[in-house]
Amino acid sequence: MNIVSTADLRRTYGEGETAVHALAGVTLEFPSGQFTAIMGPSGSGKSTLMHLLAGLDKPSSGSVKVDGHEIAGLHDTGLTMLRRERFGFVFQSFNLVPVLTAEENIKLPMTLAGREVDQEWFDRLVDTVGLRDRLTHRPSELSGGQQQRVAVARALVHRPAVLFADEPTGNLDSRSSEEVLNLLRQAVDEFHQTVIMVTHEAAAAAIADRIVILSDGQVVHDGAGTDAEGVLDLMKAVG
Amino acid sequence: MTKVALRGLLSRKLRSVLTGFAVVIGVAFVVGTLVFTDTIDESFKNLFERTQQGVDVSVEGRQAVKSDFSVPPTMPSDTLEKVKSVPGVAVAEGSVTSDGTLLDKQGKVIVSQGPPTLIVSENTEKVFQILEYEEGGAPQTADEIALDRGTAERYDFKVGDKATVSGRAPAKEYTVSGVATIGGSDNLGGSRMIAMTLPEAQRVTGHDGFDSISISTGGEDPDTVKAAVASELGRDFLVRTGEEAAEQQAQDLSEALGFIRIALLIFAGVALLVGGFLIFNTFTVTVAQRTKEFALLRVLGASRGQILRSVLIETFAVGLLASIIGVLAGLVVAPALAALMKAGGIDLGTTGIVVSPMTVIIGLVIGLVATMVSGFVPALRATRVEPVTAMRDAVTPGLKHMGLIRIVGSGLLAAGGLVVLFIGLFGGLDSSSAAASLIGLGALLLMFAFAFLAPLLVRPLARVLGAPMARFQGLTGVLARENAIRQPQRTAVTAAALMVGLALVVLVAVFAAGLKATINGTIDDQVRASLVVQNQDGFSPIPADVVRTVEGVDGVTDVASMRFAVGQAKGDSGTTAVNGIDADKFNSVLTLNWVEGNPDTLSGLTDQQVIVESDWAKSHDVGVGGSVQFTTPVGREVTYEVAGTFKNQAGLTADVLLTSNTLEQDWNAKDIAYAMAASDPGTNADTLAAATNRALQGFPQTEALTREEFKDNATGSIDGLLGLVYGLLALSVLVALLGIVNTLALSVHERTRELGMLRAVGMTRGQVRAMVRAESVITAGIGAILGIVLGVVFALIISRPLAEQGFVFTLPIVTLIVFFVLAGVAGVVAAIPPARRAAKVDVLRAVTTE
Repeated sequence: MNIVSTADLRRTYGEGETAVHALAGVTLEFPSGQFTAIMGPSGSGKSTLMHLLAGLDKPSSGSVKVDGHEIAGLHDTGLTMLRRERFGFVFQSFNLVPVLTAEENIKLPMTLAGREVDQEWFDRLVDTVGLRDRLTHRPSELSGGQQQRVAVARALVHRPAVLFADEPTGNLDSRSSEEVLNLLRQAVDEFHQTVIMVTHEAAAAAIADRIVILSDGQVVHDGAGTDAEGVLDLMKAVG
Repeated sequence: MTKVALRGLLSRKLRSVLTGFAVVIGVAFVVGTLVFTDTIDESFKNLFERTQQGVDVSVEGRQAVKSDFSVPPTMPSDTLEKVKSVPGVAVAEGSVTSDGTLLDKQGKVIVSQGPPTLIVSENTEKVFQILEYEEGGAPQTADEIALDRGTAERYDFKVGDKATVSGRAPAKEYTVSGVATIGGSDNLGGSRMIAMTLPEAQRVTGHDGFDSISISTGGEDPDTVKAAVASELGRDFLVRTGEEAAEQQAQDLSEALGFIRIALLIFAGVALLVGGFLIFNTFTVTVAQRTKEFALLRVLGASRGQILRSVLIETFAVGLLASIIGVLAGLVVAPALAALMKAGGIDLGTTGIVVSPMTVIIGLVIGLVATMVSGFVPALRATRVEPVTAMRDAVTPGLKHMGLIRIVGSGLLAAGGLVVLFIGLFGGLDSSSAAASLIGLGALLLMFAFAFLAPLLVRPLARVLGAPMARFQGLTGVLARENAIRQPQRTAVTAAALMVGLALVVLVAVFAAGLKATINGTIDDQVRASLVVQNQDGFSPIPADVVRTVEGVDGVTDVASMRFAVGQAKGDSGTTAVNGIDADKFNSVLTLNWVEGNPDTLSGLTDQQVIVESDWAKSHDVGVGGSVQFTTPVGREVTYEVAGTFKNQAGLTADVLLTSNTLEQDWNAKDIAYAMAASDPGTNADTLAAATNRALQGFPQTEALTREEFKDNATGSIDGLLGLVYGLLALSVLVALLGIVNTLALSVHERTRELGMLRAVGMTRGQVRAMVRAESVITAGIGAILGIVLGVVFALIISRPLAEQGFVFTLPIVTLIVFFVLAGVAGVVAAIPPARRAAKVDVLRAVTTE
């Protein structure tokens, strides 16, 4: 079953001769429980694609369907509700609210929606990300890796349909990167979570089930996952 | 570097505008005040020049004791003959001027708290005629009057209409013979003028003689004639050239109204002080946000001095621009002030605008100085940025651990403030203006002490105020509370700005409540009379004939009148107010708070005796049996024996009590300030008041009040003044609210990414707005708490010396709660623009890393 799908998705910035086609007709389907890595060089449109998928930006034309419903025409409140209920986010940085503790940050999507937190699920998440003893700490008292792990837990706490990760390891050292990537992998394997991750790091993409490569706003590769070297080869091939 | 500074300024338009706005308001207030008071001065100067038109030399009775609004004594009728006999006097004419009462067409008294209704005698000598009749002509008989055009138009009087006028004599109906302009203007500085023939004016006003004599020299040098007239008349007369007289009259009035200028400038100063807090905060935040920029400039080789200069130039530019706009805005504020004063019951009848170059200079200098002083500390901070910061992630520095320094510093400030305050209050300073300055300075120091300590109070106060929000508003409430605490210093300065204005509002409110309680208590305790008869305006005198009328009312047993005069005690530089009382009847209408003596002392008071207030006795070093010496308004030196002392409460009487007879004989006080009537026990006060008012129909300017009505009347005038003060302080509060807008806008700007992230994970726009709103309310609430506490402390301290005089300290709890709630509402309003901005944050821009 497809959780998210796009059809001839286009996003153009500017008008006339100076127009930039960030996305020039992308049709993709994201089935449930799959870990997809979206790759591509700078300016390939990979971030734009994710923003459109996640309802953070509106397409110039084409459609984005979540759970079979078109989201392109939704207004701000509708999109907010969608993000709150159905999506989880892990960004490269500025993931956490500095004045809230790790626990409060994790529970943020639930508290914003005014819903009760499933304590059992919360405990399981906390143990999975290994932050039991850091729950009362504020982000400034956590390392970069710990902060990203809190962000992953936050992105999973409300059992979203899709977890979007935008360069989640971009600011981390290799050990912390590995921890965060393993967590995402775990979310797919153990919790059957759908994950869509944008990255430019081959090592990160290697953990995915499927690799989509964009170039000049178009899909140039869409295939099964491979190891880091394979990813590098793919990148070179479409280069 | 100048270029960098100015470009930086342009790129941060919003912030510069907000900062500048505080300066604009402060400067506008100062300039408005100066323009307004200059306009008052100028219009009176013109006025008096017009009224002295054609007068080469002017003669009036000499005032031995001069006080604000005092009028010269009436000269005997034979003075005119003496003047006419002096060589060089070509034409001389005597005239009468006195306040009177005009009834409108509905028969209601025209009451004014501002310019009076004047009865004047129309001059018959052509050279002195300043009235130009638009319609009809001058009054020719004792049954005719002329009115100024302003009054005629306002109250719809036309030539041939009937109009009722009363003065010392009972009310009488006249026919309007003419409507005139005075030297080209509609009225005399907003006053109402009733012109009568000389004999009728003398009869109505009870002025048996002339209040002034105008002389035309027919070409002879006025100074020579002045000298000749002066030597003919002697020292009881004041002889001046027309020019001198006009100048002096204008100056006297300007001095009498000087308190308005001072009061308004104080309010302007407060607004400017609040503005200073705002400027300080904005520059602090901008400097913090530009840490990276400064660091980069330092890396590129800019010296500390260059950075300092760059920031100071920016400050100067903001200050200059804002001051210029402020000066312009002041021209709009001036008429607004006039309107506000009018609404508060002080109508000065000014028109036009007088802008002196000095006003513009003062406005610019004050605006620039305030901006530069407030901006200096932030500028110094900018110079401390280390070049290496450019390489690091920019973080806005938070509150350093200065707890101890703050506590000690604010303790020292507070102690200093209290010492200065107490010297001002209890130091026994001779000059009241020096004492007032010290009190002001002390209060200012206390405010700074509070403001300096405030960052430490932000956390606990925000916790208390945020608790209900966190409880009922959930996460957004929690976030608001935490955001308010995040930069305690910034929140503190923002709140402190509100504190300043509010502390003064609270001080005034508490003081007014205490005054009202005191007045009510004193009237209850001391006034035994059933009725108080006074002028409807509450302060003008009433005719002596009123007493006889009231005595004739059924049920009235005793009527005691109170006369009023101002004299000078021997050795004093200032003046002393004196009451003349009907000693034999006074005990039945008023109970004195005796220190030495008893009611018998009063009933047995002879014309050579005096009863004085105990503190007055102390400061003049006299006791019972001793003697006091006064110079009376007519220049007589008189000595009285002290028969008793009493404590004055709530200013119910003057500090010096003499017999009515003495006051009439020695002090020339013919009018009565007010009268009080005792009644048979069991008489209904309301019925009695109604009956008395019916009996007083001949004196429509008077009214008989029951004790309750008298209380309402006395406390009502406090409410009027209170409204005026609130209106003026509202401006400072407005500036403080701008500060909240400003601080929040800056914070929102700083937290763009965080807001975007919150929106991405599901915070709705409404929740974003609610969060900003709650932070604003918390900030306003902190300011309100600090302000209310400080205001009550001020009131407690400042009312101490008055406690002896019976001042009852009362906390107007409801009023204080209302202030607190209003501050919260103001917080909500102030949050509107920044909340809107926060809700509009583009999620995408916030989350994309570039």
